[in-house]
Amino acid sequence: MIKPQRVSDLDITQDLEFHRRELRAEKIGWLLMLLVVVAALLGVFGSGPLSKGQVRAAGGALSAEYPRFARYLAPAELRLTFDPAAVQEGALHVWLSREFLDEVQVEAITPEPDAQQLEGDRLTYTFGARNTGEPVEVVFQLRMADIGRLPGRVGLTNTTAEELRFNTLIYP
Amino acid sequence: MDAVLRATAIYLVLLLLFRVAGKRTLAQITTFDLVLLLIISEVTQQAMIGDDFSVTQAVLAIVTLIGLDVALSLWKEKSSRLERLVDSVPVLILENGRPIKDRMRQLRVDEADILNAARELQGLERLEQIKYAVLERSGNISIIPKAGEGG
Repeated sequence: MIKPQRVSDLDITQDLEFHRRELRAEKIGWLLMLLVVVAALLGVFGSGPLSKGQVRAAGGALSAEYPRFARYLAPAELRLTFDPAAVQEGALHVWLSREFLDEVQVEAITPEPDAQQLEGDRLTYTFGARNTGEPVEVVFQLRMADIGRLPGRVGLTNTTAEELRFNTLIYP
Repeated sequence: MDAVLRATAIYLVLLLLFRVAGKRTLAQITTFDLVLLLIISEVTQQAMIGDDFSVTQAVLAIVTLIGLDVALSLWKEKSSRLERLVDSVPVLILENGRPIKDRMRQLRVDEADILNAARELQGLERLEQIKYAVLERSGNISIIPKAGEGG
């Protein structure tokens, strides 16, 4: 409880020193709010230019656009692009690490995979594909089911060179 | 569990944001302030209960919010520093009919606001009839008329 003081005829808990400090804190707070808004527009909190990360595998046949920043239970997208060379014998075999898949809900995969196969700590998706000489693309629509840093690994089966690692930071 | 954490997070964030915004910002001076408050509550609601629409979740969130409020008020009784930090302090903005200009500017209050409060609360007509005007912690202006005026 604050003890009131007598100011002129008024019993009041006025504290001008605190009032001055409060004004300074207010100004700093406004600046911080502005920074948060600017950062949000840039995508630091998900969905925006800065929130999209790009990685390319050492072998060059696989590249990924992954969410660098995402939000809990909000949609996110993992977009994989493959060189025509990745399509072999009419199929494309892509694996994702279980560590990653355990913390996201896969809402949809475009195109739908023909088969899924468990292989230790990874899950391999097989897509029917024809080598037309053009790059092909697979999109995973995700919903993040965990909070914090989430490491992901994705690769092409049968080659160790085509493996990507990425990190997603998921806000609560 | 998450209802308690979510409600606590929202409580603290709102407390901080409303303090930083300043006393006058959302003091419901205009109709739009009220609309803004309604929109804020709408946005907050979903973050607090998530996609769990059970009665339990709602009760947990409400109990957490009220519990925090009670706990904070008990703590404020003990610590005047915390009370100032959370509730701010009242500031004198007019003395003996003379507005204290620099404080009014800092607090984003103008003479029209003081006259408005004087009319509404005391039926006063002019600044000279006011002895003291105080910007209260709630963001409202309280008016003390000079002896023999208004009332």
